[in-house]
Amino acid sequence: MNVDFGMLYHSFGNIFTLNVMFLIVVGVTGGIVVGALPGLTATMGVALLIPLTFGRPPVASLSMLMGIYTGAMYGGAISAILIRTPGTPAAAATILEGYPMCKKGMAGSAMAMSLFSSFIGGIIGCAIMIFMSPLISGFALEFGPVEYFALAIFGLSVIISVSGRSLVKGMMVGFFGLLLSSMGLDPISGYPRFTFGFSELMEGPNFIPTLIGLFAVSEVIANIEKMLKTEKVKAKLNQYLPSWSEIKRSTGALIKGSLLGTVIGSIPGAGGDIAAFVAYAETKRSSKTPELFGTGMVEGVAATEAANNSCQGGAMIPLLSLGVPGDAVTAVLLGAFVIQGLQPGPLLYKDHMDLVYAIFAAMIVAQFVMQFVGMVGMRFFAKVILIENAILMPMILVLSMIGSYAMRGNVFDVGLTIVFGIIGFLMQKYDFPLSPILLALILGPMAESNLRRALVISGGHASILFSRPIAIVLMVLAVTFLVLSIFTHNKIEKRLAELAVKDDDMTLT
Amino acid sequence: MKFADVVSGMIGILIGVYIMIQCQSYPEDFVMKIGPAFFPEILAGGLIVFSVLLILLALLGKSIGDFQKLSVREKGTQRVLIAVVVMIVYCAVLKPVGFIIATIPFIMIFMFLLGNRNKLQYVWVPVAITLAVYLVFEKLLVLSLPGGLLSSFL
Amino acid sequence: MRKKIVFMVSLLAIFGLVTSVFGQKKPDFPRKSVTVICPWSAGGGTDVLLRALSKETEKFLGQSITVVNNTGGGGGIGHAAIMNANPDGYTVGMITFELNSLPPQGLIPFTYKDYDPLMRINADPPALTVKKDSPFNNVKDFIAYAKTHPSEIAIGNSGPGSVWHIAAGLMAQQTGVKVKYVPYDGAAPAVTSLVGGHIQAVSVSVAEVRAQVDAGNLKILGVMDNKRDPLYPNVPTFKEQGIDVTFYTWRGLALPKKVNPAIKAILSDAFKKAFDSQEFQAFAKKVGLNLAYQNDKDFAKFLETNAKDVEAVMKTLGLTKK
Repeated sequence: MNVDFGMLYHSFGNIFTLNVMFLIVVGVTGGIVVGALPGLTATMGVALLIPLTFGRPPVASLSMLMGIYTGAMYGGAISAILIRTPGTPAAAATILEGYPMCKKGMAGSAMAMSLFSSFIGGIIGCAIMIFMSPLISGFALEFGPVEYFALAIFGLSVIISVSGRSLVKGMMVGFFGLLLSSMGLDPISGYPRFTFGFSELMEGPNFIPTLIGLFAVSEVIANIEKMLKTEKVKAKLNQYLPSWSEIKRSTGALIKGSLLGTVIGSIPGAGGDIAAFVAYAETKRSSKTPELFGTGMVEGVAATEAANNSCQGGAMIPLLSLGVPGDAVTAVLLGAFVIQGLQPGPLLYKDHMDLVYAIFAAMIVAQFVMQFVGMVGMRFFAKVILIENAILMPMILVLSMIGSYAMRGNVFDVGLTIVFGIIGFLMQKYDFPLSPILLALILGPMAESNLRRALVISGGHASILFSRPIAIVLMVLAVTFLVLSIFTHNKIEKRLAELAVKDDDMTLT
Repeated sequence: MKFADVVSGMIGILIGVYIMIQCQSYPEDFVMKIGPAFFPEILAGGLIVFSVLLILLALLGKSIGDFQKLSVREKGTQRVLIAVVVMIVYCAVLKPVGFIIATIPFIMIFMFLLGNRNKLQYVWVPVAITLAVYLVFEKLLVLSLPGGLLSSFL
Repeated sequence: MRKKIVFMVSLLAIFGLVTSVFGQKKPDFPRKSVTVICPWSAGGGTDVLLRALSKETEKFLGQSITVVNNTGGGGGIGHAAIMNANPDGYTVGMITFELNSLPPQGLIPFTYKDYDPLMRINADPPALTVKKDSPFNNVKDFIAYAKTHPSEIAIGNSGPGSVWHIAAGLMAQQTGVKVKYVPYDGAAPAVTSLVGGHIQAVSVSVAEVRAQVDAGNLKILGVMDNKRDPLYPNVPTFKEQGIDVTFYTWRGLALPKKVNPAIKAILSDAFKKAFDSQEFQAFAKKVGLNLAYQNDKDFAKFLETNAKDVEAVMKTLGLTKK
């Protein structure tokens, strides 16, 4: 496809009208709020606002929906950094460095970087979408069951990087998480597994309540145990943009995160959550100081946020050019298109090129609006950490419980949140990492269902797993990454040991 | 020797064994040998292997990381237990009593558990949080929260 | 004082009795907003349809309608919520095909019999769709090949025990062929997989393959309806090609049992008017819904036969609980 710059330029004209700009600003702001609230995801935000688009012209409605999508992808980072609550699943990886930064009194810097990297990721994602759609959508179609299985294995190879200090514990947690993911109806035969008679568990433990329980509720419980008084950190909260040196340090992370996010986002069924974890692991692996990861490294925030926001552009590629949604949000967006009487796919490019370009333009404008609204909002958001713990913690707890409830309108999920809150609290107390569970919950179903789907297609012959080039490449990458991360892990252990010796020397002298 | 690691390892083994036993009763797939039990069995195996490893490492004194003891006698642990009970009660009464009535005392109890002793705050903070959450979810996002006893007034 | 109270209470009781006897004709309904339970998640096909219909119904009911998504359990949780709702008419629910496919699998302990059906809204038939460059040009070719090459063709569907899985099973059962059923997590990934050439066919609805058919990536071999699809008048039905099967996924509205018939009449009247409204009809056309209204009696009959058919096919697929 040749990009028609004249048309692109022209479509900006359609966006820069008072009406459309207003809707984008409303969409982005609403999206940020929805994204920041635990339990309300980008998918839900878009779904909830679709009825508002009934009867509005396509450009205006789609612009607003793109605004929500953009805002919500960033919004998740706010609560991830400030209160260790992943607002959206894709922000779970942002907790790894963002929350330690906040605790160190660097909340302002983490917030500024998360916004900036979301912006950069968003722009790069859009650019790739505009210029390379046909190439990437062809690639996405190559993904059959075998490739998805390989992709899941590749994603799981990241597990060591997020395992913390004990690999054995990381692996245990990983297997535990995969077992959790196998709860519910078996994806191929429909047989109910480990549901303990609860029909609520037929689709397995619902992801959002699990996520909120493990991270947010467990942290509240830990606070109750230790009764931490708010350390009045003199945090710099008036930082709107990351400093030049921070950007320089994070350049690699930003680029890698954005590219990984766009490519993974473009594969239907794989989204920002996977991309963020992979980008994080790669940034950690290639860092000169991997031992400092987990203590608040700004590159980590840059990588994860760039990855999950660039996913947006990536996920739009198969939606627009193939009519196949790239992730859960675009699946809902597909519905919005259809309501407008538009059928995304090759025909959209042929018959409604102007609209395609208007969407491009709206997405780019939404990134700028996000950066702007985010900067204005940062002051207010950051005030959160100044709230006294005895008020903030109950607030987080109520939001967590109600966020879990609202997802499916079911009290069972509130109970699930509490159960996982307790599990998460105990795991942390005994030094078990939490992130492998998430990775497993995201990738477990993908691995199992596609492995078995592939075997159904091949009639039970395992040879099908090694018959496809993309799958072989992914599996080789997975093994390579696994070996490399074990090396990195050993390096980290060695350095930490050296540091410990130094510390002892210091205390002696 | 890290006692906690041994215990966690045991829990891991128990979970693994439980799943293995459960899987025995699962049917074989209609089309091929690999049925619903295939994947969980492999995973349970993996969990058991690493749990055993964890126990062995602990017995050899090679455990990594540090952690605190969990004892019911400690004040912190008692607070956690109270918190858990309150959360479970909240979950149980949420539907029949409704969001607003259940949440206000819930927040008060947690403020107390977290050591807030400012009387004035007990008056306005729970109400303010509850109403704010209610308005955002119910009115702004049009997601219905349990009405409970107040459902005929809202 | 006491006498006064007794008097007032008895007066009220008499008044209540009188109104309940004479008021049968026209109860004061609805006096507050009505809730509609959707067993599927917000933004999905069922939800969007329900919200569009509810929006129109508000005009005729004179009260607002809130759509509540009670999801999970493969639709079972929402269906249970409808069944267990207070039968005062203020809770209506959308019931879908899964109400007939979950019980045979032993996944829910109730059936269509536990509801008071209000109306059927749509019934969409599956279509047998293959890649554009596939050697098959009609259902006959396809079946003939499948007969000589048992267990070779892989047909994608939207999930184990899902409506389109059963549709493919019904086709195989009627023609005596053996195929491989490949369940996906919804219809969209199955269609994508077909476009990518990873499977040979899908048995999902016309609306779900429409985009790829129009784009020239896929072609429809036949629809399991007794009339041709208005969008693709050139595509013959299965019946025309000598295979006498019809099959539908359906959606409808239902009430919990024991709702006052007069209130039910008001509701069904309002929803029917909304169904007939220009706005709703235009909406349905846009999203490619095959509208198929049935009143409560016909819908009840339909539910009965559908439940039997579904269970029979599921048995042959090995999906029923042993």
